[in-house]
Amino acid sequence: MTRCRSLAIVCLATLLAFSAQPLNSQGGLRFSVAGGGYYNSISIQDDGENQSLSGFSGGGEGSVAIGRLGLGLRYLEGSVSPSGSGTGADVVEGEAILSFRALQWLALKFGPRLRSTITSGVTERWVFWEGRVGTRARLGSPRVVGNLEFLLMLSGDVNTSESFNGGQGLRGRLSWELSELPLWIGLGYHIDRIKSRGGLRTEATEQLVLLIGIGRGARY
Amino acid sequence: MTSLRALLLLVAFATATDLLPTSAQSASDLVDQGVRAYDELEFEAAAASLRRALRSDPGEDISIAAYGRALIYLGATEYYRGNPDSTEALFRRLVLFDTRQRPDPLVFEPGVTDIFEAVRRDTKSLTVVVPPRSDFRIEEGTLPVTLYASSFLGTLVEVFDGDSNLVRMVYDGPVSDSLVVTWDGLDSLGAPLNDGDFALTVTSRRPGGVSLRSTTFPLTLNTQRQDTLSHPEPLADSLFLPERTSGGQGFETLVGGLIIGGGVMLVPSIIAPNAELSGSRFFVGSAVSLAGIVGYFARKPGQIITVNVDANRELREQWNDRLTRVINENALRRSSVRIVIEAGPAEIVELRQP
Repeated sequence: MTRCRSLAIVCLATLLAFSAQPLNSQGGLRFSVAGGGYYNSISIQDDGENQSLSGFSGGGEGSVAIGRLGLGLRYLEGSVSPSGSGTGADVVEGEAILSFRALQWLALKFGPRLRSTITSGVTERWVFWEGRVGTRARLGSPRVVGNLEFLLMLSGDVNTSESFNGGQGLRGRLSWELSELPLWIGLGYHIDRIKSRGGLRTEATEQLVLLIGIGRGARY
Repeated sequence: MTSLRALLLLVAFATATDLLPTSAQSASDLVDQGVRAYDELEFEAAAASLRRALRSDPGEDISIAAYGRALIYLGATEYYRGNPDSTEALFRRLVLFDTRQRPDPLVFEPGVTDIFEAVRRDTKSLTVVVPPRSDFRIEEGTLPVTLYASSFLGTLVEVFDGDSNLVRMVYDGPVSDSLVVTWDGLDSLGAPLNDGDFALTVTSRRPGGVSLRSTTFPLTLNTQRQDTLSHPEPLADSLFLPERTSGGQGFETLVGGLIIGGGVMLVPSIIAPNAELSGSRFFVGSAVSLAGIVGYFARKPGQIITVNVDANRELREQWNDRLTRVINENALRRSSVRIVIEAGPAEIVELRQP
């Protein structure tokens, strides 16, 4: 089933690549760097038991783009604490995503994402390979842009005995460029849901993101 | 008998050749010969040489100046030969021929010059001089017409086209001694003329208005013009950006904001159906939707798009600059039209006894 979805995504990407039109406004090299805070809310369902954790992470992201191609990097680390009794965890996350803007409003992305959770000295490290489809819209002004991105975890590896059974997610963001300075402010919402252990365990991670960045036009 | 006939023929030939200047002895030589005889007080010989010179065609066989000189010296000769009437007639002929020439008071005694002055006062005559070829630029040069009057005269200078239609009245006024009037080569409306044949006519009049003499110069006019540039094509409507928002742009903003905002708010429940999700998705989703709604009203139909207005203004200004440059260049090219006027020999018609 996972292979069929992967094949479908590759076919869609190829189709869009061949139907791509010139993007006149995206010819040059573009950079963007941002830093900010992430408020994480993790909801875990494990064999009928529910657990909620939340906490702040700090980090940043950067991107570079030339023409239709781009590369986005993101790194953050922080900690989450359970809402009731239980043990908290440190969370570290990073990703490197290649993007191809097939149309002005449509981008295809692919790349690895790593997530480590350290609980009581034990590190659980996930490596996901994700495919993403993103769209964007200018909201009235060219400086106000809304992004929406769906992601599909094509594969997942973990260093423990957990097994990966699929995952998907969503990224939504509103960004606003200041007119006088090459600064932008981003407000985002991320959610991932990972199924493991044959579907008995699901973990949904939400992030409320607030970023301040420098640069124009290369955000991913 | 044969000898007698040959002798008669020889005498006749000698007599005939004596009446006309030979090629070896030109009219100018005869004038010089007459002047020398006059200076040596040999008035008979002077009169004979000068009369022979005056049989020549002025302007062709003899120069105008030499012809006038012959008239002056012959008039003075007749004065000393006791023929003041002949002197008066010769001086009248001189005044009618060329008003510029007169006996020099340093050379001739007052009796001669007095007769000339009396004749000049009584004889209304006008000499017109037009250069045989004039080449000038419009607004920079002119065709000079020089008028020499024997005494106070009214003068009318006009240009006619090949069909005798008046093209331009150049001058209408008095001339007391000499005057230069100019024609700029344009018609009465100030427009350049087409190439062709024209006529410059100078009519002299008594102060009472009676026309005396008409002098007409045939003119051939050729203009050399530079082609003017064509004006730039008007700007096509497709080059202008819309200066006001259309319904489509606002609608796209609204739909984009609502789809993305709705996606952020609704899709997480589908992705994680059983999870206890936070309310942050509604916060972000609402912000995106609200941005779309605000953007819609900011770009609702009829709103002025300042950036496009500025771009269109710049486009129009660039076009106007190009147009101005072309207009200025064309004005320069029009003003640099060269006119070449060639004047033929004057034809003089006496309208009334001067």
